[in-house]
Amino acid sequence: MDEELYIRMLNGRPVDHPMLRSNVESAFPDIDFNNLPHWLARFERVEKPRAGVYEIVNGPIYVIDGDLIRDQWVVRPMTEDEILIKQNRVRQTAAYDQGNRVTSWIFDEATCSYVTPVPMPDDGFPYDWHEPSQTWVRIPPPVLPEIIEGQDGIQRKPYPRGGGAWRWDEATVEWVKVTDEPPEVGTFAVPLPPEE
Amino acid sequence: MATLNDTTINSAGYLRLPQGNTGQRGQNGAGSIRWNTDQGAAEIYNGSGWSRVDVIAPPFPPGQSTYTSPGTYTWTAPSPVSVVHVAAIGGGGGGANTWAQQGGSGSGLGWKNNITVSPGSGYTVVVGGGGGDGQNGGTSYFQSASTVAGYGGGSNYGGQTGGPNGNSRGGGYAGDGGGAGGNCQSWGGAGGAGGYTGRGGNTNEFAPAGGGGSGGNTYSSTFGTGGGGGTGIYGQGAPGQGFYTPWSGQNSPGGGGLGGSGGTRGAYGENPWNGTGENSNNMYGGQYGGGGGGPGTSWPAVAGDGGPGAVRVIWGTTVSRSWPSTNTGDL
Repeated sequence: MDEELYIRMLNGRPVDHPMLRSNVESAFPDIDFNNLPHWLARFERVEKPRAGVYEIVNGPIYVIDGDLIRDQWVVRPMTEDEILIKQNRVRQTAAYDQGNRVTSWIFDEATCSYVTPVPMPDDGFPYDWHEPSQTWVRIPPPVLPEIIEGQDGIQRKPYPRGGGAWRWDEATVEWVKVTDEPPEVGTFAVPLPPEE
Repeated sequence: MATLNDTTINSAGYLRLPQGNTGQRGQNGAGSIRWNTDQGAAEIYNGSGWSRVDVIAPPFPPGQSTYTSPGTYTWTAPSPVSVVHVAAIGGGGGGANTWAQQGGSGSGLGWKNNITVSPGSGYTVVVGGGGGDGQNGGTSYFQSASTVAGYGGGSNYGGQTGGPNGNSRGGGYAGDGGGAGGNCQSWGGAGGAGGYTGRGGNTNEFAPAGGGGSGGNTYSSTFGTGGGGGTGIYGQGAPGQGFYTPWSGQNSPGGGGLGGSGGTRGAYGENPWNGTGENSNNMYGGQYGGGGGGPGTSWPAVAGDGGPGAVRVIWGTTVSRSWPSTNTGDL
């Protein structure tokens, strides 16, 4: 939403909530936006900050900043009770989920989440956790089938990996790279139409 | 009974009519007028019977206000707008904030037609934000959450968001119609946003959805689950689609569900084989209201945020307009 925002003022303080400029224009057609009346001020929306693991974000309240009114958020640390409630909720949910998958993961208080008992190697390769042996197993690159059937029912070689968008060429029976841009919606399943 | 001739009332106040129920009617010839308490309306005698007198609002041209950034707003009814039609989509639930976990659930979409408003009066509009790090999405509404609302999508840790017409953790809705968000199950891909006449896709549901499609599951904990598709705010259109991948069941990220009614798709899940692709920091749910994707294990455990909510207010009597699909675009 890129529209400018405005807010009503009463006795020098903001009242109600911000209005879209288009709404101000239609509801108050005589407003001169270059010379705002005393009961109207520009407003700036401030995105809610992301809370830390044990933080709570309160607000917003509207504060005056010169001729501008803007959101102000307050970040505070959780109380001990709030920390306990959050940790218990994570523990209970994780216990339910892990019943079907892994049981060895341990609760990490710093991140309030469950992590593997052994850190994943940081050599840049992807690994999968192997619960029976309690180890990380390096994942080989996927071995793709030679021919797959797309959603359209046509059998082709698998859609190429490694980025870009590709077009299926019936003449050469190969994928042809169209662009280096990231794959678009459905390109894994629905190939691009033939080139004109 | 007093008889007055050519009377002028010098007051800015009122002239109160005689009041009574239908059984108390009396008249003194054509032109008699009274307030009927049974009907809650004035009536006039035409010489042979009583006719109800209704006030007909003046016609007004189409207009609209569209809110797509989370926060609280005031919408002021322009003169002479006396009735509006509103659709509200909640914020999607956030993906779980621990390794190899599930995505968030989709939000609900509610719409309501013929909401009476007073020209010049202000009405509260709330746009719910997408949940982050395992948190629920916010609820979007007009006037109040019981008037018309799309409830936020739930999350692994936040649970259900409440509200009527829910779909487990998928957000519910209030109004004349709408759809619940898709439910995200344990270890699964995110749910899609609710649609105008049906729910969003549930986890790994490779089927057309009333709203946004679901995100795909993954085989390996290393790969993240996909974000749910969002639903557009311009009225009912083509359905969303749960993601399909030929590699389903092998090592691959979950795909993002395709959006419904012009909504955007959810992001692909975290893919350790694509260093430049989407990772756990941007596995967003689609706009509006798609659930965020869940993380794999290759990046720090930060899940995708749910897609933001949206509210759209439309009006106009010179052109017939109503949700879910009658002239709901910009006019």
